[in-house]
Amino acid sequence: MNDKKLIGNLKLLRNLKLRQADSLMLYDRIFSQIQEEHPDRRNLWADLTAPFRTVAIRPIFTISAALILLLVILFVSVSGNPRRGIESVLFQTEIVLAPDKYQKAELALNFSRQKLNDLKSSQGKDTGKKIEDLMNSTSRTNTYLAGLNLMGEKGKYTNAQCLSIYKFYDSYLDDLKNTLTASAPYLTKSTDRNNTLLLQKRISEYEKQAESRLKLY
Amino acid sequence: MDWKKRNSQFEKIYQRLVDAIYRFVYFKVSDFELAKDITADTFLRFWKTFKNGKKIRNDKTFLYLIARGLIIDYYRKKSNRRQISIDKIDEELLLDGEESDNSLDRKAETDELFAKLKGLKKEYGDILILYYIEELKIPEISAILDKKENTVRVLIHRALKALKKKYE
Repeated sequence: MNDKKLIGNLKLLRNLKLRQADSLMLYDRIFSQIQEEHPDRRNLWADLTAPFRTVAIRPIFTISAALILLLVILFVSVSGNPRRGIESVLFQTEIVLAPDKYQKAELALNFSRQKLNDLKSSQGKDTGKKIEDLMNSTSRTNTYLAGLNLMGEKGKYTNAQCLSIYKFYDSYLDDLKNTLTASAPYLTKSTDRNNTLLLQKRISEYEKQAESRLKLY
Repeated sequence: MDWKKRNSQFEKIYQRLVDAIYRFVYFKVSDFELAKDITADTFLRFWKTFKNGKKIRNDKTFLYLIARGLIIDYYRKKSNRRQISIDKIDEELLLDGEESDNSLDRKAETDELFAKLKGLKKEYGDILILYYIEELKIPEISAILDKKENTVRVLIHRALKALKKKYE
């Protein structure tokens, strides 16, 4: 066995660690003894977090969990719909974690496509809200797509991928336009009708932008 | 500095180093429960010095020193030492979370390595654990083993050679 392989194997042993439950037990054992020494000097933090010790030992988990919960509450309160709230949070998280512009654009476009399919299959239910969602998601998709370098970026995405995604986007906009026309009878509120008009205007602009980019290929 | 602040600092040190100390102790004693006991004692002894505000130059080195001392004490006190199985790494420990064929092969490899490590001269085993597994720096190892830095460098080379020989 050569030195490199041997050292590599040794370093693998670094992966050995206590299970979370045992780590907790050890923590309790040590810190309860410390507190016994000073019964009138209690560690308030340890007392408060005693029921949540698992999470307290790894603060990053507490902070992440709290942030995610906050985002979910925020989205639910704004959207008034828990499912949509959670979907939005998950989508936003995916976008943030996406490694490059192409993947962000692809995620955004797929999300918009899902929203459009949802509107098509809903048969007049919550049409106004869905159109509003589509307006926001399409706008976001357009922004991400506009950020793509048409020639591609080395190691991230190619110009062929850009061409493909723009074609998909063009067909999405076409479909969106037709669906909005078909949804018009279900719009009872004036705000919903105004949103639809606004979205139709934006679609025209986005279509022009997409066409001009496609011409460059 | 008040007790509450000390306690909070100690908690940070604990969170940062408990896995490393536990691992070191486990590699030396090969017993899951015993390793937990010694790790707990290590931190409690550290606390005894730390709470009084005594200046500790390097927390990590000091903890390893205490752990090493406790391990030596343990072996001295045990008159009728039972032979502890050193063949396999305790199942209680996490190697990684995967359940795959690759993981099983890797576990067999690490079990073999662990057994060979235990079969080395005590000094060599310590050096390999501290340098390659715990990734301590030469000056830190020198302080823990109470040896000159040049001696530590030479020992690392010899220990690796000795371990390599076990595979031949």
